[in-house]
Amino acid sequence: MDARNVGIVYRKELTDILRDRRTIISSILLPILLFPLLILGIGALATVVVRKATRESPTVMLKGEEHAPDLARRLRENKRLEVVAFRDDYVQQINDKKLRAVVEFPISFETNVREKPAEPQTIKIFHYEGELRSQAVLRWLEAAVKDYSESVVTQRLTAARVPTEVLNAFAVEKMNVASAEKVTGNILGMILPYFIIILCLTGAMVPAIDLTAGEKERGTIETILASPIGRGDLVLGKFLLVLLVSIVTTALSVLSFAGTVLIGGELLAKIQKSFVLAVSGKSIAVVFFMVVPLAATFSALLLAISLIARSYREAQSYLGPLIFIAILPGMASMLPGVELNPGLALVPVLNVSLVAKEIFAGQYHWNLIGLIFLSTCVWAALALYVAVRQFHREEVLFRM
Amino acid sequence: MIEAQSLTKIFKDKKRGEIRAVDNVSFKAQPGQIYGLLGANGAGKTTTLRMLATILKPTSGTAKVVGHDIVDDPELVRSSVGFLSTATALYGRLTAQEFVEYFGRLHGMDNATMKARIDEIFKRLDMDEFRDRRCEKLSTGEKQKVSIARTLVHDPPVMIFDEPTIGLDVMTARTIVQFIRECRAQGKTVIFSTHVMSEVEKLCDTIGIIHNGKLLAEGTLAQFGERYGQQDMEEIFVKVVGE
Amino acid sequence: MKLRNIGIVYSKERTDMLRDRRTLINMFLFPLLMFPLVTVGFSRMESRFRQKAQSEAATIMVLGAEHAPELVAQLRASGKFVILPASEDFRQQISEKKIRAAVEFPAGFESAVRSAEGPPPGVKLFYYQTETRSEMALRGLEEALTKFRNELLQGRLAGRGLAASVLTPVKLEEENVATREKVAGVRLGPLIPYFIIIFSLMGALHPAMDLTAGEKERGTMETILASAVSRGELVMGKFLLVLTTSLLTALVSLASYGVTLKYSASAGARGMGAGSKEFAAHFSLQSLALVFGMVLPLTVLFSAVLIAISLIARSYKEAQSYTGPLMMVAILPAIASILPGIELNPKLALIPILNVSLVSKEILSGSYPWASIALVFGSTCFYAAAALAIAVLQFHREEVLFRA
Repeated sequence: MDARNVGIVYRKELTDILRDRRTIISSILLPILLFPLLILGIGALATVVVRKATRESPTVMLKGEEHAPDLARRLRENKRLEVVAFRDDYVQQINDKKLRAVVEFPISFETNVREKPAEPQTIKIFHYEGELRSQAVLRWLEAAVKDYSESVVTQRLTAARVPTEVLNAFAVEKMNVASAEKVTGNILGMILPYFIIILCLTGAMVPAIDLTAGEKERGTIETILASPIGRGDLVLGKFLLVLLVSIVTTALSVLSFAGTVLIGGELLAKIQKSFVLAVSGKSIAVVFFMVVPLAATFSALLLAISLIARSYREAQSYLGPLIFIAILPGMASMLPGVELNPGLALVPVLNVSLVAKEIFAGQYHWNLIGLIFLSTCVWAALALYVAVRQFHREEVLFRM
Repeated sequence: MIEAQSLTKIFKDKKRGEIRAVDNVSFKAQPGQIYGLLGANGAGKTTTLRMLATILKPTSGTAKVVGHDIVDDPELVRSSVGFLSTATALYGRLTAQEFVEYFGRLHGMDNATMKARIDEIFKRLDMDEFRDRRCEKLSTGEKQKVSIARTLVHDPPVMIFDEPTIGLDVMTARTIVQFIRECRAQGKTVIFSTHVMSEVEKLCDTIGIIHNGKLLAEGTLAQFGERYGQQDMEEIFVKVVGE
Repeated sequence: MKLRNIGIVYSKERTDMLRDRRTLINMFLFPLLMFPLVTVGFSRMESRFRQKAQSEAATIMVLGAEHAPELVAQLRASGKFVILPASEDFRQQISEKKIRAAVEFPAGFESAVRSAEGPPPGVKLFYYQTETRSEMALRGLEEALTKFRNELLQGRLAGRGLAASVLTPVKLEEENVATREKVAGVRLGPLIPYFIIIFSLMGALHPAMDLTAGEKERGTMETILASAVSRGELVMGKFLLVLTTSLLTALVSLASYGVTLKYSASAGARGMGAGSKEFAAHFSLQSLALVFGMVLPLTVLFSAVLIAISLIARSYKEAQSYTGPLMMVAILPAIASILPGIELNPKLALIPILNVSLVSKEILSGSYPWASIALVFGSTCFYAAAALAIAVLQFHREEVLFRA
């Protein structure tokens, strides 16, 4: 093994790939632009939609309002709703989305409320299940009825000469004790590990294919094999490049994502109540270190496999299904309640996913972190060994 | 018979500006004769032949192939021409027979005629052995035979070959040369381009030397010999181009 | 243009494509399988873990337990909590997820609430916001407190000769009056056009690139161009194959989606509301057919555009670099159908892809805005025709066919 030769191969591959427009786009531009565009775009769209929905006054009908003059009046006075004249075909109207809901008062509603306090009265609300605006109206109606209910209760208590303070048993205050970093980290920990693992894999795919099957296709593999460089050095040089691209893609994507989330959070804070977001640099650094051996494993594995292919497209067809090995364990981070334990810590890919989730949430189980780091390194070494072996096999290099 | 009349093709290149790939080329190729276009790489041979095959449209000028105008009746021209070049590759996933049948059908042949014709061609070219093998699994020589079969299936009166022996081994190249001679014997009009001098000497009835898009000189081997006092085609070529 | 020749080109391209088994697997089988597997697998796992988390007893701390003995006894008896001895560093323990939540009772809590004298005392609940198990524990504690409060109020009212029903004058009963089709339409409808659009695009992608740039790369473009078929016939034959593939992919993906829904009870029941557990996607055949009719010109548009663009490329790889970004752009309007609240209007009805997406959503939820439907169909057909014309034109341009 000659470090100088490895360096020569590495530098040439680096120059070559930097001149490949496609790599620049997919490994640099795309990760940077994707998240901001996607998240901000959807966020902006959603905001517009919500604003529009809240500005409209949905239509409501009242059935039997003669039995509940007081409540009916309240509903008419409610600025959020528009009460329209009752029609018999209200079911059809609701179905056609011309009407959002109908409130039906039972016979003698208000009389019974007044005179028979022991019997609760039932109001029916007809709605369109699952339809956005109908559901929104439902919620408002529920709130309006609740207000009415409370005023009735107050009246009843007053009438019975019972002070309303009787109803104040005790107050409950909810307090979040986790720091803003932990809260943000928790959220990030659910989403980021998945992306990081996928990006690691897909980032390595393009260069891995290009440097093996691509060389075969272009006819340059024989040329380099005829040069004085050793096979081992050749593989290492290529491997280092694939690793570099994989890490750069992942790093850029994560940074872009984090940046978007932070900016998005600031925008959100203006619309909703304060939801402070903060990202801990330490957690990102530690996760980064955990990901490096994983990227190495992927890089070596992809090199070994794509070397078997004779052309770019054949290689793509082999590597495509491999995305599965990243998706399923990666998704584990999204599941609530899946937590890291010494048993899971030995399962490749899954362990990195889970430990990253913990680290983002600010928890550093150093012994587990060390264990996972080491075991991933072992996998990486194995994969690299396999890759080197592949480059020595003629039936792989010169597959006809 | 092929009659080129002031054929010109101008390409516009972003960096290099206007390129006159073919510049005012006129010549006649007679049936039962082999016309050879001789020139270096980039001289304009391929572009000329492509225009004759109606793959490219001339910028100006025209040509008549068996009486059909290449600009006005390209389809009639194509159905009268068999075109073979190094770039006319095969469809890898089709078998040799399927490949030839595809083109036969496109030429409007009905199944019965086509089957008979294909049987005949395959027999003559000794292709029956790999008839049902996929093209991607054939050796270079076998592939070339399949290409030839394709050009012959509709029995065209005109054959256009663009550097047909490039990259072929000696035996396969001989087969091609033999085949070209047979075409002539059958009374077809044959035109082919090359930069291999020995082929020119062996095959051509008329030779046209093309350089920088222009047809510099034309004639039989004997005529060239007289004009330049040389028998070696290579020397003659160098002299013509040097002028 | 001879129909016969178009047919010959079409059947050759089809034969060729069917023999490219590996590509077929990767293009069709793989994405179609992956989608239901991942969806079903993920939602099954998710609900299983959620249930597991819910059934576990949450570790909590109670501070000031001596001030609320009865309530604490209730908490213990419910079996939902494991109460650890209180300690000073409870906040840190919550942060580090060693305990899930903590509740603090002020001095004299129970005596104050029993006697109902003086200002009402305040109970504090401490938790880890956004952390799933902590939030679950919080909810459990809130429920226990509410139950306690209700008993308390009942007692207080009874003490004054009032029944508990005094507090609940009105009960609300919510009844859905929309037809089953409409409910299903609103919940699941938006997804269907999304899938059809995405998959028809994906189905067109590989063949479009392979039959144009791929041919250039393999050197077979010149061969076919020198043959008797005209440029127009050639592009139509290829176009028809891309179109067929695109439609097939869309159909199969739809079937796959339907099957997935049928067999994933968990994915179906969750979030679907009462009465939908027995899942029957009651989309009328009529509405599905109409939606497919709307998507048809869209697939023509996709196929034509992809062919026109891929033809510019010199190799399959280059074609991928052009079509990749295009795919991303096309996905955005398709997503619009999923977002709630975006509804069709005359302006939006002219935007390609988005219009089909939105009108399909309407159709599947059982409403048929015929004017909009006509407008969307008409405009998409127009775009499709334009794209096809461009594709045909491309095949006539030498600088595109022979890009050096």
